[in-house]
Amino acid sequence: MKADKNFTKPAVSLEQLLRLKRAEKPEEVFWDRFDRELHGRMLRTLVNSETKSMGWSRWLRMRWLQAGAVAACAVLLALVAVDLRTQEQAGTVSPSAVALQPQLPDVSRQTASPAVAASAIAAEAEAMVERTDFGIGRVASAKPQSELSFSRDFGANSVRVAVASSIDSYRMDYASDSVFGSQSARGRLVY
Amino acid sequence: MNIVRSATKVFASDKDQSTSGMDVDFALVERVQTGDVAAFDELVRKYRTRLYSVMYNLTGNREDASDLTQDAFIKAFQSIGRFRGKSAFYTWLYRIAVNHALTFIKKNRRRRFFSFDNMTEEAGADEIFEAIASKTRTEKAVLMEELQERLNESLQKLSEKHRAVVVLHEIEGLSHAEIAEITGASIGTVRSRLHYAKNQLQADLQPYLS
Repeated sequence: MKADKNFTKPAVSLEQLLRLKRAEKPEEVFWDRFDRELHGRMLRTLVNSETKSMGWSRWLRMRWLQAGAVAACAVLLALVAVDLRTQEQAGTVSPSAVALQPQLPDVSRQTASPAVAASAIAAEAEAMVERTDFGIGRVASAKPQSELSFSRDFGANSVRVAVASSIDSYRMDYASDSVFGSQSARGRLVY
Repeated sequence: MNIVRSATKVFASDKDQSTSGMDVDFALVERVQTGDVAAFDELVRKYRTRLYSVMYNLTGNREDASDLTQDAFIKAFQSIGRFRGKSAFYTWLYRIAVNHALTFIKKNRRRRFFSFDNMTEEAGADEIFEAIASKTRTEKAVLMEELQERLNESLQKLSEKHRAVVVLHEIEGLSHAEIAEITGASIGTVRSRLHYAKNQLQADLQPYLS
């Protein structure tokens, strides 16, 4: 590297010269933007991890429900098959066996029958599937527009978001903390 | 001599504050671990300037430095639940940041755009300015700009690992042991990298040095 002709050789060491780099700093405006961007990204991280963890727990719960429903149906079919076979062997068909078949999809009848239990589980599972479609919904409030709060239901955990001045500038008042594995503590993220 | 003395004073006061600073950090980390997101904001405010400076001097580009600093904080936020306090929080944070920056630099070797921040007033910097050029204000500004450019060029010529050691030791003022913890290298390796890197810089910046 060649220095410029008019360059006066300075009396400094390499260490001093390198320490000069500490003086290279961005202006305050930079930090305003930096904070805004970082908070936005933190908010997205929180929401994404909530959704992801909820997705997994929902998937697991669904698996249990599906397994339960299949098992209940299998037990019921086995019972019906055994009953019909016994009656065929005896030469008679029990009225209860005939009546049981149309009752299978009737969820409204809350009896202890395995068929009804299976249907109820299936119905509950369907209701849970519908809950996968999350949305931030406005909570009805008598407060002024600027103080309306929005909430988003994540099932076991929740993130409450409050509106500040515009749709782009909002703040998260409370974030549930499944990230840290505890249900009780809450966080505050404002920007 | 005066310059060295004032710089040493800065380092000494940094060390004095480090123990109580670590306690404050641990308390903040504990708050974050129990779900207090605002406590993480305090940690961000405390370390953002220093972390940005490391990223900036490693990449030589302020936009990349800004993104990488944010990435580092996000990564730290995501994994702070696993922080057990075996090392100081800032060492842990620096490790995340430096590893992330080195990966980024390796991936983007061909993409080199430099953008510089302005020089600001810093302890000891004025004296160095004076030593470099006791000229008119305009001449000094031109000279500083040129020097800034040359310094960055020379730093960027070093390999990522050598650059990281120089940045952490000479610019950030971290000890060899702290750098070893951050980079995962032994103290001997850190010393040897530093020696090699400084020789390279010395040769590259020879026309500008006493």
